Amino acid sequence: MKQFVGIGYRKDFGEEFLQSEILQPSFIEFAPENWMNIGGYWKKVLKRLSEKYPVTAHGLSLSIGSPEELDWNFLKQIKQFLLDYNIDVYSEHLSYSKCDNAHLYDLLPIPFRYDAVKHIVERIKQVQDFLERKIAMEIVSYYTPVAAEMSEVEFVNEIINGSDCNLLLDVNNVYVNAFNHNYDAQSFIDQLPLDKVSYIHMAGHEKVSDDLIIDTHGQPIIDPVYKLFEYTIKKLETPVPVLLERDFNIPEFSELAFEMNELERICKKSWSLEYVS
Amino acid sequence: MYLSNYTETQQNNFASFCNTNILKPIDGLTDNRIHHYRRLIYNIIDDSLRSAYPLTEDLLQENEWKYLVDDFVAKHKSQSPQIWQMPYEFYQFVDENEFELKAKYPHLIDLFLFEWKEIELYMMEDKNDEQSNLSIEIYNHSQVVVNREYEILQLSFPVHLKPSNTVSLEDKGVYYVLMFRANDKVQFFDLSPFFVWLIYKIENNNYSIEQLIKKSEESNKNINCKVIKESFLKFIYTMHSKGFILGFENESEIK
Repeated sequence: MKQFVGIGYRKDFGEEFLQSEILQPSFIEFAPENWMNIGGYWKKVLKRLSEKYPVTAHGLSLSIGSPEELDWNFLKQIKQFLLDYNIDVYSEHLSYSKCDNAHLYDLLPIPFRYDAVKHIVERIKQVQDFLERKIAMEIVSYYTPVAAEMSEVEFVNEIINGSDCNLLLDVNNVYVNAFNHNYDAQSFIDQLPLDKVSYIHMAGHEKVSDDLIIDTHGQPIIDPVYKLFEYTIKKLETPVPVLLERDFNIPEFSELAFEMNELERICKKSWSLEYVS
Repeated sequence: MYLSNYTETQQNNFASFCNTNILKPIDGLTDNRIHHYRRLIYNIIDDSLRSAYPLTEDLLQENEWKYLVDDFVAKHKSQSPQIWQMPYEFYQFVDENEFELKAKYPHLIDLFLFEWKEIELYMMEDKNDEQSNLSIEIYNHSQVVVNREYEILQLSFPVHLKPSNTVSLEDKGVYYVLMFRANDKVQFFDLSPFFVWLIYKIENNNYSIEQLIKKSEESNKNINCKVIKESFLKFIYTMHSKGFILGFENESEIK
């Protein structure tokens, strides 16, 4: 069983995941939108998974940066989901996925603007009050800025500090953004509120042209991202959970185990062996 | 509301491009990269729909499928935050629009409904109560307990009986399909109107087996009683073995 490293549970893993001796995550992550309001076979599988592993939840449709009102009915369902599966950690994305009364099912880039900061800070506070817990917000990968009047790192700092939420640091996203927008990834990490990092995501990506990487979660993690990960966790004062995300091109469990082992090895090199909750 | 009109407009224009492929003014974009968002969103929706409707995808020509998805992405405002429920909105969208394709394929909407119901029933929240006292023995006084995770569809075309590319206007009629979830899968059965009637009676009354047989005979006076009773019992046994009938409550247990 891993001490630090978990994995995002996907339907493709099936029931086999429960019996696997190859994959031994320290926790698993559910995307609530894939599993809320269901019954039958998958509910039984999820119950068994939640009895075997600690579970975190990583949402997709909160749309914190949307001009739309927050969807309170949706949030009620999220709260119930967290209760049903005994989940403490809930994270979401610094992006928007609903606009003009329509869900788009992907993460759009929020304009890095002062009014957007105020808007999002207020909404994160509302969500945290409603869910009765701090939430962690993830820096998303983006392929173009939109009407920016501040830097990305300033935008992230203003939101995380202003709302007193936690930061989900997706190291691959930082790598992707640094490549796509031509800045230094380590310097970006240095400027983040690292004391607010409560959770780390790691994943693979796909380079689609000489100047563009798309964050697909469909490939293995590449060495430069492992290096950035190692750089990052050395800077954290306390250990935090680390998650491997693999959403497409799901390989054999042994390949996922290899990546998890590598992450665990790096964690152990930098952190004490005490278990992190 | 802290968002300025300017920021909101930028966000709306960005999202609108992803749906419509029409680019309204957006400041500060890196050349040509917004197209990736449209491509990614389109692929997510298209993949989800192809996975939900494999029979419909097979029936339609590729350009027809693409036309439907293009039209849906451009015009429909998806309401569900859960993407697995979005294909239902697609089926509704086609039902309310797309008249030319529905004319070419009269059974298109039945096929959508049939495929969607399989997903819906498979994923639906659990409805059955714990039933620890049900018997597998049937007596005249037994009451039938049915699995509540079911639906009866009324279709105009036999999309559940024939490959969809062989269904034609000549097949038009009234078809009933029982779909239910049992043993972790969705099963379906073609039903005659008599068995639709029977399921309705079982669900909405506390009739015993004996009373159900009597009611069946009363409503089918032109059919031999023995035939009715045999059909009735065969249906009950078959549906019990398949999991649509969960078991039987006997008088002493009812009390």
